[in-house]
Amino acid sequence: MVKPDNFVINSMYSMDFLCGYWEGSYTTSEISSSTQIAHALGFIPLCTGVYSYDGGITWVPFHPAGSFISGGVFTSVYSDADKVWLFVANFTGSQVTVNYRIFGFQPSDATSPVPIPAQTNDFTINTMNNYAKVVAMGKVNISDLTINAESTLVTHDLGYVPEALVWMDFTGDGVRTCVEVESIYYASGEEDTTWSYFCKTSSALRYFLRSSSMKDGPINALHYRIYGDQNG
Amino acid sequence: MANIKTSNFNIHSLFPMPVAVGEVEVSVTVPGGSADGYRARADINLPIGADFFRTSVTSSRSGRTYAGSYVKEKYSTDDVFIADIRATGSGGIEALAGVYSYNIGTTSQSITYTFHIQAYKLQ
Repeated sequence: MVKPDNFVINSMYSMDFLCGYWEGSYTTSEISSSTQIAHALGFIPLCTGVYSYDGGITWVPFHPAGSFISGGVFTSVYSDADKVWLFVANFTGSQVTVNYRIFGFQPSDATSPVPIPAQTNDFTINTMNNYAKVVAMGKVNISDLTINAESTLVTHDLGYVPEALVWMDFTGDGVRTCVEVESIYYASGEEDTTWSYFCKTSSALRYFLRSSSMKDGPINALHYRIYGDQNG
Repeated sequence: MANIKTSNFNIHSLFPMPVAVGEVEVSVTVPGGSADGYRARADINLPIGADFFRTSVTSSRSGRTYAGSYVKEKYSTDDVFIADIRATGSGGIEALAGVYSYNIGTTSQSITYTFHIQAYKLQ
């Protein structure tokens, strides 16, 4: 862990915290569009979160492929060095307002400290709460992984399947961004060379990289965070 | 030490922190012979409203547990499955599995997706 001093309280495992939280709404036209939210974190945050396409009644996790149960509104979140990008793919044929909650985490290789938010006194730790604990986090370069095989990103040996979040670190149009990953598994066929998946076991987090075009393409690295909570 | 209110001794975090508030597991099955567009749904309650959730999905056919809330699996030229979740207005979770491709007939085998969902609030 590069910056252990960023953890306010140390338990047996580092307690998770957000380096950024962005909440709001964005109205898109009848076609797809994006908006940006400025940040001054000094690094590229690892973002996750949820969005609503019906005024805050239903909430769907962000992911790049979009959800097929989101009423024709597919929303994903990206981040770069000074902005968080919200991209809305709108297939409804009419104007849509998207409500969003975006949660940012500090990547393991960040060297600058996290700016302390202004509302410090609002964050009171309560021992009745079960705070998320990080048991492992890191960054793996794509160039170090094997094509057409499950590469072990990290061995955790917890004895159960833990929670894990993984982001792709890639460069497109000259801008380095991070986006949360999804899993696409093909048991056979060569129709799509862009698929990959993340597999969790009771001992390790693994990644399957399908093609050399992905390895030599815009993806540079993977960021992972493994939590102590059992999830599978 | 004087007997004073322990509530005076609060610990303040410098940053917001995720708090686990619930854990649920639900399975959804897509039967063999399902056509494109078939959707199977299952609703499950979360006892406390959550700000966000983290999900794993285990596939009965591949035996794999995937990270993330969205999974797409393809087993032959005919069988394409998807799994996804959303939080509903009633405070619950709707898990969904279905057939995705636009050019298949029907799926040859059934498949069950088990969703493992951890719900979180911010302190």
